Amino acid sequence: MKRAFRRLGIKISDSWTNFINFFKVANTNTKASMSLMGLGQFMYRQVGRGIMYLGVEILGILFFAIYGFQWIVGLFTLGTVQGDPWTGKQGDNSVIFMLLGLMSVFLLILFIALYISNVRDANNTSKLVLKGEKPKKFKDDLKDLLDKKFYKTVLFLPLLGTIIFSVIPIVFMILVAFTNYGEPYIPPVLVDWVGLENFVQIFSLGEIGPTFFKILGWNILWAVATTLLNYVLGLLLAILLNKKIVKGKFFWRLFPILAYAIPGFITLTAFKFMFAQGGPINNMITSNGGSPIPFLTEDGTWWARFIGLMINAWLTIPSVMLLATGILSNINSDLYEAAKIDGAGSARQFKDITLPFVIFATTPTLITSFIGNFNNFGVFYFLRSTVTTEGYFVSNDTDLLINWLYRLSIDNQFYSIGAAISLIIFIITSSISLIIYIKSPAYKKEDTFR
Amino acid sequence: MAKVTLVDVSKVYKGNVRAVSDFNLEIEDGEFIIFVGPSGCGKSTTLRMIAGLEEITSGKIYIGDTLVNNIEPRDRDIAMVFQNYALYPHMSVFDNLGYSLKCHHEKKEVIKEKVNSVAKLLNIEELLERKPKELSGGQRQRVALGRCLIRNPKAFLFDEPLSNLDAKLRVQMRSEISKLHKQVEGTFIYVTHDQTEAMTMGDRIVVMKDGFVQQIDTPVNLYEHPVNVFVATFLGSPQMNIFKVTLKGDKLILDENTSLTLSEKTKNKMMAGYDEQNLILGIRPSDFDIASKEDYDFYVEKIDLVEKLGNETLLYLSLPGREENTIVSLKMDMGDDLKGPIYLKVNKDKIHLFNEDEVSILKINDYNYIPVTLKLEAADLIIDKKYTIKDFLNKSLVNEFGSDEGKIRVPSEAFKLNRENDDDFEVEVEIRAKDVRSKSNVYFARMKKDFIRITFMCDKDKHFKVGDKVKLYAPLNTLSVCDKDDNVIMVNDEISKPIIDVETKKIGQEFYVMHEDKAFVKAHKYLLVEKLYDLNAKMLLVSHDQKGEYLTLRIDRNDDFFNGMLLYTKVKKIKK
Amino acid sequence: MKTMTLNRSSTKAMNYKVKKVLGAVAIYCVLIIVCAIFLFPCLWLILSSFSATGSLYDTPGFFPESYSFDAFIKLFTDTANHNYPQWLANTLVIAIFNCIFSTLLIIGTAYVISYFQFKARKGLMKSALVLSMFPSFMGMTVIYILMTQFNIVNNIWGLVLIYSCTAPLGYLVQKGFFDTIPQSIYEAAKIDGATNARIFTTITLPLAKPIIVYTALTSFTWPWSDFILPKLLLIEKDNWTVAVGLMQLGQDEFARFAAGSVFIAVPIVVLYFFLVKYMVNGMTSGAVKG
Repeated sequence: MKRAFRRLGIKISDSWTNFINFFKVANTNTKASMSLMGLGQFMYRQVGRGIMYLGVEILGILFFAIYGFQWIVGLFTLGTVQGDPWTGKQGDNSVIFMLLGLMSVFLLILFIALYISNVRDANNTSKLVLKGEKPKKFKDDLKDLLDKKFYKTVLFLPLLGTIIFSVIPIVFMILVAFTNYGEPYIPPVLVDWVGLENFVQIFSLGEIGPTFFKILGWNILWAVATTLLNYVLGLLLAILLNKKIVKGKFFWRLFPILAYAIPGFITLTAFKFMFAQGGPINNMITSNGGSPIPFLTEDGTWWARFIGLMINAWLTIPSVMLLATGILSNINSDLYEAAKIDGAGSARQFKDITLPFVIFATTPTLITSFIGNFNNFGVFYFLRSTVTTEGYFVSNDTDLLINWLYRLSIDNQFYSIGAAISLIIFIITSSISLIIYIKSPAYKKEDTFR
Repeated sequence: MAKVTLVDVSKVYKGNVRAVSDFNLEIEDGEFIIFVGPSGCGKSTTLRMIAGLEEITSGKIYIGDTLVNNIEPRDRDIAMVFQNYALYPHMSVFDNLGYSLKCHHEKKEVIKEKVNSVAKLLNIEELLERKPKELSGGQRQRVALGRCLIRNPKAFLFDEPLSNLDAKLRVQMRSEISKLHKQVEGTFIYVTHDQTEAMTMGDRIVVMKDGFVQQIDTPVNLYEHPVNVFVATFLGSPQMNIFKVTLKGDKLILDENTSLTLSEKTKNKMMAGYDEQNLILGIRPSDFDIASKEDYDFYVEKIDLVEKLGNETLLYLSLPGREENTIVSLKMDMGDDLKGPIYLKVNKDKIHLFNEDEVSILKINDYNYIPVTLKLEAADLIIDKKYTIKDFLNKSLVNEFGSDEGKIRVPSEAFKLNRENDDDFEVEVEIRAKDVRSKSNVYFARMKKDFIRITFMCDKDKHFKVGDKVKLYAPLNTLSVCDKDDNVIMVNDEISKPIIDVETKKIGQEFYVMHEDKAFVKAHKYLLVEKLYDLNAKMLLVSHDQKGEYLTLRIDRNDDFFNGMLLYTKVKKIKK
Repeated sequence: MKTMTLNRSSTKAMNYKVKKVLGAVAIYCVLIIVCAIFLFPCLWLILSSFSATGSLYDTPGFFPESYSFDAFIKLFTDTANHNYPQWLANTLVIAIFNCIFSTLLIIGTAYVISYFQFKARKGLMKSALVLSMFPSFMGMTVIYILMTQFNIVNNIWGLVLIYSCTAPLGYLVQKGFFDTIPQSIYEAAKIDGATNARIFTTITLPLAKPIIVYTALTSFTWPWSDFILPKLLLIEKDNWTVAVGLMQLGQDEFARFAAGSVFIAVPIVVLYFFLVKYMVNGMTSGAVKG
């Protein structure tokens, strides 16, 4: 541990030394670019690049002067003037302020990155000139975009799309988790920063706390149970179908694929109807003299959980089976033949050859499916979204954290609490994934594949 | 076609892993040169650097007269055959062949014509419409060859192209490639780990190990005159037998009972100073022969194993000086039987001797060190009171001499039999032994004074006998001046004085020259290295700073340094 | 003596055979049960769609008593409250454009990350991983908030945009495929004179057919099954997708629900079969060596 810190310390001090040295050694052109973006490039007769960098500087300064600066301020204040619908006074919309402020911060980061790139570029050109080479021309830069730097061209759109539609929304919601945005603080009512208050609410006794822990407990239990169940049964099914005795494998595989292919909301709603209080299954039970079983209704806590487990198995086992089938076909059949000659019966072969290999190959997917099941919104949403249970704050006893999240945010507009819970879900699932993923051989050996 | 030159080429990976070190080679136009060595020796890496698929860490590569270090593969005008053919699987053979022409925007008719002519040359016309997966291994290899031929490149590169073929096909393709070479008269650079391929196909072979070049020579020379144990045992099948022996007088002692007497020729070729030393003896299996009771070198009671190969028979038996079986190869018919005990003798002119560092003591001197007297007169150096090296002080690494005695160093290739310039260095030697090699005759001689071993080469039409006295001449610009301990004290170019001894330090990714004097650091913000000189334990850097001022620095030897690198300066804090 | 040994060994053989047969019977029984379990709900749904009565409660037991095409006909004719054809059209548009854009973006991203070694590569991969670990809800809630505040993204193009732009995060499967293309083919192309752009179009894309089909099919079928995002985003009835629309049908309209579901489920299932078969074939014949 100490060594790691020492290494980090050395890295920091080395970077600092190089940073200071940079200023000492930077030539005039580099220094020119440092003061005015694009100037150094112009001095190297790189007109194209110079114009681009200069343009960025001009646009940037204009933007920040006119809008950016006040938007960033708005991010911190979240508005000061409350609008009044009665008097028709137009007030500040906190949500918009937050959004605009966030965008401005991103643009600021982008601007700084471009500035650094501008300085680095001038510096690299100066090094090139020292070695006796010519500064790169703009024409060559464009050609590079189709060749050496092709990756930049291709990644531009996906990166842009991801930043706008994934990164910014997520950061926005993280910010919301630290505000009081939610009933009753919804624009035109002003929203304020409240720090960790939401988290305190979640973890303490009161309205929300107990519900949180109850749901968390069930969520973990659910994730473990359903993942294991699906994995084992899916594996068994794949092995069963893989046996030599079975003829017409493709025919048998059609049925699970059928279950897998039909869109989830259809089958889940069908199951909801099937197991409804007045649905066909209960009808059959009552017509044979029994009393209706509360599969999915309010009182049926453990029935509902059980049914949920079964239905999710019905939905997911086919995909596990397909995956395992693919892997089984990769097992070297020589291994089985050698085992047979050694005298191993089929049970032993399964235990010593099949099982270890398949487990090894599917362990990464086991983790992803654990996470997926942890956040499996659909099952209990379609089956039981109308039910609430006593003692649960806007929730019921089969809801997962993510279902609760939906109810809080969308049904009841408690956005900030919802955002806080999202963060907590993220921290749980990401810690598990990152640790296991980074330790997994798949990540480490990625490059040896080539 | 063009020649390919590699100068001081090195490849260093992250973490200071040296894949290739100081590779120097001049490949002639139209030569078939082979890089051979065990896995991981750096041969493929070197080939890929020539192709442009790997970056060159330091050194220069020229294709023709063009420096190609920073040129993309497609602009280097080379073609390459890969180990797994790397044919485009989704394209027909026709499209595979024509792809490069398409990339260079050739017209359709031109492409069609060229593809057809190449297909005809390689006998693959019927395959033009097929896809690679429908072809056999040999056919795929021919398509890969065709893809190279069609571009008429300056050089052909081959990366272990026959490794994926079965034995019979390999033999067939081997001859096809050799024939192709004669037909096309191109420069072929070929990488393989198979020593049979190397020995049969190449004009010259480069033997590599662990990133270093071991020996560059023709197959015959490598086989008959390997410079170290590695080359000796790598080439030749079955492998050379290695024995541990001690030299006593003119006998090689294998154990109390067994010894070999050196032949006159070997005695005369041998380097001096190895009496009473442990040596390594190498005898090829084919250099043994059946002997008679009267005249034998080894008496073997029992033969452990007999392998009959048809025209030759291999015997496995135990000889002293060696733990494993010694392999003896005799030309015998399959019908003849052989049982122990037998008498064996060895062709004593063909034994190989190596010192304990596994370097041959029968090899040509890389450098010949000749003692001379040195005297400084103003800025010039007077050697042996006869020869003058002008402006010596500007090129020397020391400013004065401790004594008058020193040495000059002459490469064996530099010696000539005729005086070419008036001021050529002259030395008289007596011939002691002669080797006939593939391109020249090699003579082992000695100087009258101190019996210093001199080796030189000359054309095959010049013949000398043992005992002849010959005068050798070496132009002054081929000499290096050394002190009496063989340390080089002069370099070939002028360097600026004074020579500054400094320390260097690596901070992050950048290198800094550490100097105590603040003024020095302020005056020289950074230094660009122009030339490096290797002085064994130290290195000499000729560099210029941001103002263009030249500085010569002497630093401890550091393999991270290369020509063209940037050094920053920093003040060195003195610990009180 | 000899006859006795013969009998012994033949009984042993018989025992072995009996065991084998019993084992096979057992396995087939299990298989039949399993397949029945998978088939049953689908069968129920299909039959219910042909039910004469519309509501769930009118059917005692599981299967309808009387059958008719009523539900299907009503789907397409009774469009006042439930405009099924409109939903179909909307979803089709979204599916087609999502298919095109998503495939382009995902394939491009996966190829670049697989092939090019550039400085930011590991950083980008780690960031993508971290981003994908946030519950997808977070992003959707934001969009919902923006919707309620500005009323902006209430049309199907917003959906296309969001699907396409968040798709590249799921590039790992495609990247795995590109990782299997040998480097030597790219190197040969480089030596032949191809720029990276040319390599992408003339070599990578043709070789990537199986994975392109996979990506296209999965991104085409996704909008048909996604429920949450369209429900959040598409407020006006005329903008609904099939998924949203069908969920509005209550228990009274169960037959209609079944009919509507069956109608879209059939093509999706067919597409999936096609996909599985193609993937199986594609993987084995795509032997890229040589």
